[in-house]
Amino acid sequence: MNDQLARSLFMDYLYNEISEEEKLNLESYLEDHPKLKNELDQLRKTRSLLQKMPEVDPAKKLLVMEPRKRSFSQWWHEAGNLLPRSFFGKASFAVAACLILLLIVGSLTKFHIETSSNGIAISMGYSPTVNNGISAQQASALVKQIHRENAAMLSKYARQIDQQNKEQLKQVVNYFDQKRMQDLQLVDQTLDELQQNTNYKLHQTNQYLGQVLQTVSLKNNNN
Amino acid sequence: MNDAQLVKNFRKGDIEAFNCLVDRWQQRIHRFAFRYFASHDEAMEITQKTFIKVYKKLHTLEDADKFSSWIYRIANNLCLDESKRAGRRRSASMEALTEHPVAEQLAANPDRQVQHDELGSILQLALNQLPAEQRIVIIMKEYQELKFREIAEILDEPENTVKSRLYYGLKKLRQLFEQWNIELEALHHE
Repeated sequence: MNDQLARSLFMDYLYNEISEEEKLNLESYLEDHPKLKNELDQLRKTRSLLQKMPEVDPAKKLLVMEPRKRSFSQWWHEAGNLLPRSFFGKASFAVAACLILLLIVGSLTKFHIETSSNGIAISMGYSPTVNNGISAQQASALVKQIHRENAAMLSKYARQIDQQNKEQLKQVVNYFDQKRMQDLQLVDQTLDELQQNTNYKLHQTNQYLGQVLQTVSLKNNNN
Repeated sequence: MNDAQLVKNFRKGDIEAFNCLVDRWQQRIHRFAFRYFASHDEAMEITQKTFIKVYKKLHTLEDADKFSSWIYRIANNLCLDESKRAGRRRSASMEALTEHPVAEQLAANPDRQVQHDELGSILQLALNQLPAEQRIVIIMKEYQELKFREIAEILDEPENTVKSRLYYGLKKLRQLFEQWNIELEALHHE
């Protein structure tokens, strides 16, 4: 045995997968080679440390679910298990089944119940005309009434508009009348002032002329 | 009933036989994936994917007696695929792990002793430093307790290659433990 061969047996030795003969040979060789023995010891210690690693486990368990393929007889048998066992349960189930049956039969036969002031009418396969709205005559009357109301409303509205226009027009006319009166008064007043002014100036002119004539006559008399 | 018989029953349409296989193997596959990724979520995902693949491909398994190595091979391939797929993300997280506070403290302070609750994360940290091929062999041998022959069959490698990877993996771990001043004798939990 040599060092290389000894090392090749280290793993078998460490994990106890070595034959008894090889084990004895290796141990014997290591006794004479402390360096190799030390190397093996170090590897053994490393293994011991690795064994200190805590174990970890999955948090949840996996499960494979697949839809079951059932035959009709299996299905019928399993459906039978769903039926109630107690008396109360059976009675409730029977009542519910009767109601469902009644509904189905009623639906298929067009079962119909009608109540009126004359009594109750039960029929099968007859579909009464249901008139929840108004008749054509009533509709026509209603339309006419709506037309009349609309016409009255429009007429009233037109009158109101007309009256409003007239009032506005009257206001405008009054305004213009007042304006005209004011203008006339102003013109009259201006004419009066002009007349007075003219009279005054005429009077003054006459006065001056009188004075001039008087002066001239006095001068002539002195001469 | 052994695995081979359950496989045969499942092939005949017995879904309960598959559930029984899941029940038997879920814990082993989960532990295997957890040791690989050090993450419960990823371990769970790998476990689920493994069983989905088993469910779909079980009819292709020629020898029902080889179910054990077959399912390990599926889980191992899924781990490697996941590892490659998220290569960048994982390598970044490995860098972060090398700056693990406990590892740094241990390296800086030789007198500090590892507490029991710290040991798990330190060991996992060391395991994650190994190349994938060495890590897988150590996980299979140390935590799944498979024989060299079985590991070789799963990985489709010669037995000597498996032993060689295990030897170098253990040596690398030894170096890391020395670097972090971790000694078996120093542990408090005995």
